[in-house]
Amino acid sequence: MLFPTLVLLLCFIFFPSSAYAIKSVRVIPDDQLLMEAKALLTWKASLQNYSATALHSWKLTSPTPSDYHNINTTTWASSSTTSCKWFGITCNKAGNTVVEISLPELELQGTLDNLSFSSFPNLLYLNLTSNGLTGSIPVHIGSLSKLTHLDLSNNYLSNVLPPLSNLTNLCILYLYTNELNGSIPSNMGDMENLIQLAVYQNKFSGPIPHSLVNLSKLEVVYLYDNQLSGLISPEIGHMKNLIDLDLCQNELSGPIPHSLVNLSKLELLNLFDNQLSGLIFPEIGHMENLFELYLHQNELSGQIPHSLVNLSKLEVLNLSMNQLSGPMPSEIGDIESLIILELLANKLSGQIPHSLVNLSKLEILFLSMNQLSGPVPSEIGYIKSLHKLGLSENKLSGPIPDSLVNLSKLEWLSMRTNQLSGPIPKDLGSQASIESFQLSNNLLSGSFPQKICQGSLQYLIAENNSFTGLIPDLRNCTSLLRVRLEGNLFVGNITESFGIHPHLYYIDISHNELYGELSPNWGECKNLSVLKIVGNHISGMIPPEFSQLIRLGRLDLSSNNLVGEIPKEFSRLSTLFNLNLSGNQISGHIPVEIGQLVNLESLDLSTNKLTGSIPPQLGQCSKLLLLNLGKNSFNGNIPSQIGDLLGLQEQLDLSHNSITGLIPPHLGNLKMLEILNLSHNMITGSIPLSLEGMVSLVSLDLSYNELEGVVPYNSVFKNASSPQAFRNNKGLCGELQGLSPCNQSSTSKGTKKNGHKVIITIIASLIGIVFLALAIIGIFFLLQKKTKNGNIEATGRNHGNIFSIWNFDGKIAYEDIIRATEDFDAKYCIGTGTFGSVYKAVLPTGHVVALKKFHPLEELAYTMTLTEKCDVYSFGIVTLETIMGKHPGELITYLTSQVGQNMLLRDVLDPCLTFPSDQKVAKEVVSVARIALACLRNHPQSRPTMQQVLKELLVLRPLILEHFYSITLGNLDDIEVE
Amino acid sequence: MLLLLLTLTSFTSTLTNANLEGDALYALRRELKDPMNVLRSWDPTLVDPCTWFHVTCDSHNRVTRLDLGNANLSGKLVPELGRLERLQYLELYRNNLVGAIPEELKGLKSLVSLDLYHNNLTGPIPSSLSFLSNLKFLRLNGNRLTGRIPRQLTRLRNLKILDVSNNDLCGTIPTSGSFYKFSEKSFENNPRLKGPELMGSVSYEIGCDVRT
Repeated sequence: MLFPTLVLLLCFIFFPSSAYAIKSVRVIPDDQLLMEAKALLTWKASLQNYSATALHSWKLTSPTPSDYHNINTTTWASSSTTSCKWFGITCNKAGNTVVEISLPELELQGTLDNLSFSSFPNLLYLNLTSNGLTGSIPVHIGSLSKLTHLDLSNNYLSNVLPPLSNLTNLCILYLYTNELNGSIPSNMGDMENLIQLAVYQNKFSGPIPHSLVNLSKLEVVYLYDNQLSGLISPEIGHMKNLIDLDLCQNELSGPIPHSLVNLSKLELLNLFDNQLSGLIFPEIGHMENLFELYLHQNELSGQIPHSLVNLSKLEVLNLSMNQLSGPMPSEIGDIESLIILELLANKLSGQIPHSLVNLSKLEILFLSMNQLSGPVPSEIGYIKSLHKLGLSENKLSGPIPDSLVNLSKLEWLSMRTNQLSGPIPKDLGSQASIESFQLSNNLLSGSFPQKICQGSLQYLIAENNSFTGLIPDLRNCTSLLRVRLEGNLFVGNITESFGIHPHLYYIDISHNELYGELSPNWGECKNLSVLKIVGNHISGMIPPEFSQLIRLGRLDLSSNNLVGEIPKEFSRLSTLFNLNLSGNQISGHIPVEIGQLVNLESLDLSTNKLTGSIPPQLGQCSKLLLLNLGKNSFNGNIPSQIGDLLGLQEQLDLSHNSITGLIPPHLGNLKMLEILNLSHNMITGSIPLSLEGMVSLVSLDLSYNELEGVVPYNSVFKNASSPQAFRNNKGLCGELQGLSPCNQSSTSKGTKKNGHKVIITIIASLIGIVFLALAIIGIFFLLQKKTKNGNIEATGRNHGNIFSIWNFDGKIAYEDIIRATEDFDAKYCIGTGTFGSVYKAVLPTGHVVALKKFHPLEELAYTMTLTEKCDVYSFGIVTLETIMGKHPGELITYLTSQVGQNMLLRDVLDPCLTFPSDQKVAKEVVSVARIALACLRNHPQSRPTMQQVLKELLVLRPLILEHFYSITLGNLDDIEVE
Repeated sequence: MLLLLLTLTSFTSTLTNANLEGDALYALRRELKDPMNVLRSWDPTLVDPCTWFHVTCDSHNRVTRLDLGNANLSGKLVPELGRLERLQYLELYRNNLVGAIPEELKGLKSLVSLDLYHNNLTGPIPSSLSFLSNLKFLRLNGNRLTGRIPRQLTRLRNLKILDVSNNDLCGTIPTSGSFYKFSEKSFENNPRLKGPELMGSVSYEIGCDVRT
């Protein structure tokens, strides 16, 4: 190794040369330096021009003409001295070869490809850190065999690392913060002189080469923030000189090797954010030189070994985010050197040890997100050095100890989500240092410290407790960022509690007992993005100054006593996406400027006193997902522009207003809408067929309007509407359940085709019975109506006459009917249902009766045998239809199900009629319903005969009127077949 | 220098972690370009994401809705989204999302609506979406999705709306299960899609090769 140096020196002395001479000379010392100089210049030339300005001094003094003729030592000596004086270049003592290149932090941009490493056989030190070098590390870097220090860190070098095993003299290897990938070469273990290895923050993958354990001189190993995987070698204990071992933020798995315990000099062990599993070995307590131990964000399980308390120099212990269980070591207070103790997000149980009080240097204590129970030890209040205390999300109970008031350096206190109860210490949080105060989701009560803000408070988080008394005075608290006090019982006038908070971005004081008016000062809280004051007693008007909140995204003032109008200046709130003013007494019109709120996703103005028409400009709020204007006094039409809100998805509710006009067909564009409620208005016309386009509809309510015509029969309407969806309109009909069929034309056509005579023949023998029963029922209801109107009539009481018909020959009765209806002429038809049409007939007796002529029955269709039971079933349908005021529809199919059985009678009855107000009528209705249900039983054998029906009609069973309202259909289905 | 860097890394505090759903959403935020700043309020230091804009939670502070349709977002969907077990509405339609629909979305056990329509998504429709048994609305139209329509999707009993039109899907259209109710409109403008599967006579497996 000495030989070449010697040769160089000799060459320098005996063969002075010039650039011209080099070609002809084999190896001479002058050559070496010149070669190095040229190599440097070649590299300089390859760098981007502007980045090479630092290398200004790098140039060969051009030889003068005389030099060509008079080649002598002096000339070369001067040129060589020059290159040894180049910026960043150091030569050996003899000045004839470069031993050090040190060019850190020069913004050099380019690659290493044009740096001829083989030209520098004597280089000991190469430092190019913190430049802008790109490309690969060239393979020929391996020719720098004398190199002891190589630092290429903090560049943009990429690709795989070439073999460096020739660099056997290397003590320091820094390649950190580049973009190197591939695996770490396995023969790195040959670099036996390596003392410091830092290749962190690259993209190295694959395993940590096992050979590294042979590098017994290694003191520092930083491999963190790569993608290294596999195990940590169980033989890592061989690296006896290790002081710092940092393998964090990789994908290492398997256990933490026990042999680590042999690394008696180890001061730093950092393995956080890997996938290490298994136990923390108990011998860890012998690593007595450890200062910092980071094992967090792994999958470690089992208990925290008690031996840890022997680590008497330990300053930082972080075991957070593992699966550690069992108690905290009770003697943890023995680690008196501890400054930071983080055990959060494990499964630790038991109580917080009292010994903590001995940790007199402790600044950070995080035990959050465990299952710690019992009280908060009052001793914590004596750890005067404490800056941050986190005990959130445990099962801690009892009061917050008074002693915490002593923590004069406390900046951060978090006890969220425990079961802490009782009042909080009077002066807690009054420390000037406090920045974050978090007590939410506990059972805390009593009054809140009024002096909570002493100038530094940023986070005041105390929602969902039972705090009473005055809301804390935050008027002068300009440092506030975030306030959550919702869900308490705070009282007070909000105008006296809040002022101007220039940094405040989130405030929720909902669900308290606050009163007063909204101050214009809120408009000065320019950073506010969320303002929620739901469910208080706020009165007065919404100040127009709110429109200055240019960052406001969510404004929820619902359920208060606000009056006045919606300020039209609100249109300036261009970032607003959620506006809820529902449940107030806001009046006036919706300002047309609302159309400028183009980012609005949810607009709820329901339950107010808004009037006027719905502004068509709402159609410009194209991001709306929810629009609720229900329970106001809007009138006019539904603007067709509502159909432009293609994103409407959650809800469109315009119900309980006085909206008139037609349903705009344009609404059919709302293909994502799931809930549509237009009920309780005065909407007229028919349902546009285009609504079939609302394919996502899950719930539809058009009830209580003045709609008429055909309800479209398709999957959209079938899936979205309940039987109640169309009730109380002027005349809706259709195939859907709960609707009467639209008939005249279509149904009567059908009847004609089938030939009514066939049907009449089939049912002729029993028509009398049907007629009779109908008459009875009809009279019951007639009676009820008349009574209500105060017109007492006599005919209804004439049961005798009607019953006498029972004795008539069916055929005679039938002839009477045919005559009275002129052979079921359409002019006597007064309605049509699924099972047939209803006719009005004036009998020779003078009685006016309603008759139903049936279509064939299902059973009949299947069996083609007409039975008495089949007629009984028809009777049941008609009876039910009579008391319901509409065809029972699908009700029949679920009568026997739990749903049907639990259905209340009163919910089934014709809503146009008042409920029975006297005992007798109630009894009659119940009696009729019982019969109907019995007749509708699934099995013909379980249905009563007509004879039994008649008998049942005559027996009125006892009933207490109060009970009438709670009778279920299940209660009624109790007639036993004889 | 070394020590300084080390200190910075090691002291990465664990203060704000263990907020899994927030982390999942934050992973999305990191992946997306957000020129309109709609995700500005997504502060990962908060205990949960429930107060973030465009995120809705239930009473247990679990995320139920993500409403980011028409938000001018670009970038990829992240697999972490699959951790939102209570998510019912994933609304990311009309953005500039690219890349594949992550397989991991199968973890969205409560999902009712998956709206990714009108983006630039590529790759296949993951068959694992068939695990989303509550799914009612599946709108993936207007992307550049390729491959077959996974037959497993016919197991989605509650599916009410299916729209995979305007993609580059191929093969046949499954007709069994819940698919019986979807008209051809749900599948139109997929030039390589062969039409409804004829049960028994045409094998499901043929017809996805460009040359056939």
